[in-house]
Amino acid sequence: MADTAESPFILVVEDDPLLSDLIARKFSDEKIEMEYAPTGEIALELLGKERKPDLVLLDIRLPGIDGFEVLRHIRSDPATKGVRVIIFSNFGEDADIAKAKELGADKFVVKVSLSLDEVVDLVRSAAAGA
Amino acid sequence: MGFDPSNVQEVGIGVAAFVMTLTTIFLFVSAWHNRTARALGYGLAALTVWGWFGFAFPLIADLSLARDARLFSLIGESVSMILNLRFAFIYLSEQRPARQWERDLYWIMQILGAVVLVIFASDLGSTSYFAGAAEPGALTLVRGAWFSWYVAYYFAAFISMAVFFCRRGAAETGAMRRRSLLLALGISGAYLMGASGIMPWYGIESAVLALPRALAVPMFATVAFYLIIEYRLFSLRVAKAEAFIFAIWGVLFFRILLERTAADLVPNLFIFGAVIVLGALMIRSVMKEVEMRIELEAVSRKLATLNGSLEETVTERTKELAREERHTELLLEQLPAGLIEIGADGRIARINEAAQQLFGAARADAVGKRPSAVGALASLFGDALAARTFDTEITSPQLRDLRITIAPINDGQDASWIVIASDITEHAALERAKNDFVATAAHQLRTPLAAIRWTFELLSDARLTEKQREVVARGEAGVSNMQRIAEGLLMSARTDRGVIRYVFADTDIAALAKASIALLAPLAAKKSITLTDEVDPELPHLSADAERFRFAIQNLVDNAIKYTPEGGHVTVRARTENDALVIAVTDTGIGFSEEDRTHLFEKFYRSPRAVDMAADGTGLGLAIVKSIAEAHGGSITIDSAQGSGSTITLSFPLSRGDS
Repeated sequence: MADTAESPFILVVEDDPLLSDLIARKFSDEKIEMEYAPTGEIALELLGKERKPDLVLLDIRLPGIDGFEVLRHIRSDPATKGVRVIIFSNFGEDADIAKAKELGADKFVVKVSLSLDEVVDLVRSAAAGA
Repeated sequence: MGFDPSNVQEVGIGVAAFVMTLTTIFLFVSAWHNRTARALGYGLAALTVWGWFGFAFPLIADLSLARDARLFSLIGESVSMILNLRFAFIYLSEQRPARQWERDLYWIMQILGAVVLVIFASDLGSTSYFAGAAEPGALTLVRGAWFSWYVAYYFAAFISMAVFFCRRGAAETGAMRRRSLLLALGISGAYLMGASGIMPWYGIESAVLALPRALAVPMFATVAFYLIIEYRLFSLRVAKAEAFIFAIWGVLFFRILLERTAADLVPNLFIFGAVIVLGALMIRSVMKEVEMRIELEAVSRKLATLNGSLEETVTERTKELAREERHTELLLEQLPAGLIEIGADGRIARINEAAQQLFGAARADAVGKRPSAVGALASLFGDALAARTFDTEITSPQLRDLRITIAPINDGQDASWIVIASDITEHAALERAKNDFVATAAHQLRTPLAAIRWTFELLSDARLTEKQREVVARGEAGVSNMQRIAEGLLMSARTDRGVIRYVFADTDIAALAKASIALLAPLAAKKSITLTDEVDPELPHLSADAERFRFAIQNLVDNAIKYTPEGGHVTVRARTENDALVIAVTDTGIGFSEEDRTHLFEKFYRSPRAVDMAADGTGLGLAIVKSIAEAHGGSITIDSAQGSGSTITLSFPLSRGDS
């Protein structure tokens, strides 16, 4: 995956269309390639495709199966086991963080605490670290 | 001459003289304290002298000596007349005050009596005014030239005596008056009738005088008997002693009467006199003893009464105390809060109804045992008492939320403990609902806040005019402020819900503090505030949750900068002090008032001056800092005066064992 350093491929799992739209605009400006899933089910479907993302920005509260369930699938499927996952949620209780770590999340970030620039930095460094 | 037992008159006079003697003696002995009785006693004494001389003269062989004895007898009669008048007057004035004419009459009679006495006494020297010259070879006295004066005084005295008695007044009861009259007339009558016996001495013989002469002795005996009753001369209590003395006197007296030789008579008379005196003394002492006994009995009765009333009072007080105790008992028992008393011996002394229900512990299983030995209480109290946590909240086995307050009760000797458990289930449920609501609201706000924040961010990246850029910047500032408030609310709700999980790890507190200072330096610079770093770089490491610890320090420094006017100073000191790590933030800001200090750690409290200075505070910061400090086993103190800055100090014991 030599090309990921220049243009990482990100899967954004986010049920709020406004937030996902803003992220999409920013990523587009920053030449970051992304796919967008408004539900857990769609996220798993996209993950089942041939091309795996360099990073998953995963919200927890989702309609249908929640973020934790998605994470469990990612980590249990050998095909997606190595994909980096950052929990990107506004519900940052200690219990949630602990659970996310336990399920194998690489990082837990509260959305509102970051500016879009910081999100871009986070995504770039996380994808590069892979 | 000599005593003739067959001569009735002679025996009668003897008996009368004897009875008078005894009566007089007993009257003096038993009623000396009574003035009237004493006055009567003097009169009777004089009568006794008269009686004995009257009795003695027939026994005297020498004719001129016998005649002298008759004269002495008459003088004794005059004295007795004066003294009986005195008795009558005293008796009258005891009943009611004497009137002037009564006084006058009394003094006239006394003076006349004295004159009669002087004239009679002069007759002893043969002046013969009353008695006249002696008839040769005869005992009979010749009447003197003034004899009729003597007889006149005699009757006048008798009449005035009767007047005094009859006019004794109505001060006393009817029965008392009748008794007095009887006494007065009895004495006067007997006196008068007895006096008629002297008439034959002057050769005046008459059958008319014979009858009263015969009645005089019985009459006097009656009056004497009355006196004995009236003045209780024979108290039943001393009757035995008196009967004994009487018997001796009687025997001696009749021995004397039957004595034929003068040689035997004289010593017997002495013995008789001595026995009379000794007998009187003996009776007096017996009476005194009896009086004392009566007094003792009275005192004893009084004591018994007092004792009875004392017992009554004690019983009443005891009942009252019991009532009060029952009342207190009822109050404690029905108190709508659980109450457990733990005695100085560490055992449960009392557990009330509410406590039994709240803890599910039956009284019978709890009282007398240590709390740690009572299943339902062991886990709840063992720790709290050991840790001296005096105010804590727990959930009971019945799933009730309880506030437990443990307070020492010191009665000056042994300290015991009182545990009060208040059921705060409803209050706690409300509190939980509130915290849940705040947490949910704050979480929900995060998403739109992120959207707005990011929107402004994208906008600011676009090509904007200066004016538009300014508006966007304001919007961004507003959002970040709102975000801070939401985070504060969330943090506070988290603290209250107990959902914060502190992750303790070995932390370089000095580095953390220095980093916080560095982070806030631009903010201080903006207000021209001198931010001084006095953190000891050699500070020992602490077992701490770095993120929360940083929040606490940043919050304090941020506050200090916020509430210090431009150009002020903020100093952050961190050092080791008395086995504790101390972090103190000192500013030259607005400080805290007395009122502020009492509310400072309450959530949402903001001092009025703080609101004036920075409208956007939440009033949550210090409450959160406090809970963070406490989670690290530390404490927070504030030293401040309004207007002269403040120092907020965090102190963490270094000997904490749970690192």
